[in-house]
This record gives sequence, structure tokens and C-alpha cells, in this order.
Amino acid sequence: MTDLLDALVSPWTFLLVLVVFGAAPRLVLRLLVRIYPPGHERRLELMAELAVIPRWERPLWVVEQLETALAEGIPARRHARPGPGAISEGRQQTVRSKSTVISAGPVHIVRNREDRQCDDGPVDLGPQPGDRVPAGCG
Amino acid sequence: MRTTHALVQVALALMSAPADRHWGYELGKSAGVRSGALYPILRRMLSDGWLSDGWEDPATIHGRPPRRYYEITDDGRRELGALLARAEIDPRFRGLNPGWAR
Repeated sequence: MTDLLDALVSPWTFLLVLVVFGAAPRLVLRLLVRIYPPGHERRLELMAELAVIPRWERPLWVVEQLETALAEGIPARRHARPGPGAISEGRQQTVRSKSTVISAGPVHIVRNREDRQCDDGPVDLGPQPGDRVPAGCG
Repeated sequence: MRTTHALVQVALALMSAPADRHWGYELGKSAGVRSGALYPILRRMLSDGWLSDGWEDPATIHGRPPRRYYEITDDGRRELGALLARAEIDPRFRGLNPGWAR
């Protein structure tokens, strides 16, 4: 019995209580909200909610937020990420430098920029430096 | 939106004070819904136009960050009322007594 009392009043127990009910919930929540994509409103919202929750409820509430972050954060992050077909800016520049035009149908390569037409041909990636607009194109 | 126990409980909590601002933590407490279910429901309600949201004015608070609040819109009042009316006659929600909040 005295061993138990000694353990309860030991400095280590005191330190553990300080960590569990003090700094740890905020720290863990800061890590959890990083599951959400940057700029997501829930990041700020959950951190603000923590400030009004009684200290004795905080550890459990923070653990609950793992479920929230997984249920919402991962889909939000997946939604925020560009799809697999998207071409990055760097890749677009490479494609432009090779004068390759990507179309919805079979791959169409324009060997010479002068060959471009203004009809419903392959999708153009935009004007190039030194491009000439063919006559009759609006 | 699929009518679940959690949705009816949140609707009850919202409609208990339809003109007030609602806060995430208090809403979860009064609805008895864990936050893993509450926040996705709030997100759906926001996207469906049942709720509007906003942030506390930082000038009115001290020592903590501004919190996000939720308010029921006119559409939301109508939809939540209809949801509770349906829940009232649904035997799945007999224990929740959805009628009192309408």
C-alpha cells in the first residue's frame, strides 16, 4: 500500500501527468492535423477546439481525432492531389520543347511548328515563343 | 444524405437551438456523437447548404485561437425538420424521440 502511495506521489508520476494532460495532447493533435492537406479549415478548427476542452478530457478527445483525421483528411488529401493523367509544369515544358502535341486520340506528333492548323486537330499546349498564327485563325 | 443514428442525433442537437451558433465540441457532446462521425456530417451539411459557418472574431476572445461555428440556414431548418419528421415515424429511431425538437 505504501509502495502504491509512493508511486502516486513520485516525481515521475507528476511528470507523466503533466505530459499526458499538458503538452502531449496539443503536440499529438498538431501531428494529427497534418493528415489534412495544407490550408484545410479543419486544421485550425481542431486546434482551436482543443483550447476550450477541459484538460482531463483532452487526451481522449485527441485520440478520437485520429478517426476524424483519417476519415476526412486522407480523402481530402487525395482530392487535393492532381490525378494520374495530369502533366506537371516541368513535364509540359519538356513536351513543348520537343514540339510534341498530345491529343485525346492517338498520339500526334507535329514535327514542324509551321504545320499547325487552326481546325479541330490535336490539342495545343499553348503558344510557343516565336510562333506564327496561321492566316484565318481567330 | 443517408439517415443514420448519428445524423438524427446531430439534427436533434442542432434543432434544439435553431437560431444559435453551434460549436463542434459542444455539438458533439449534446448530440452524443463522437467527432469521427460528427465532422463528416457537418461537412456534408455545409456542402448541401443546410449549415453556414464562420469564425469567431479574434477581437472578442483572449488567450486562445478563434473557433469555427455553424449556423442553420433557412434551407437547413426546412431539411432538418423534414429529416426529424421522417425519423419520428421510422422504427429505427424510436429511442431518440425526434419529435420534440420540431
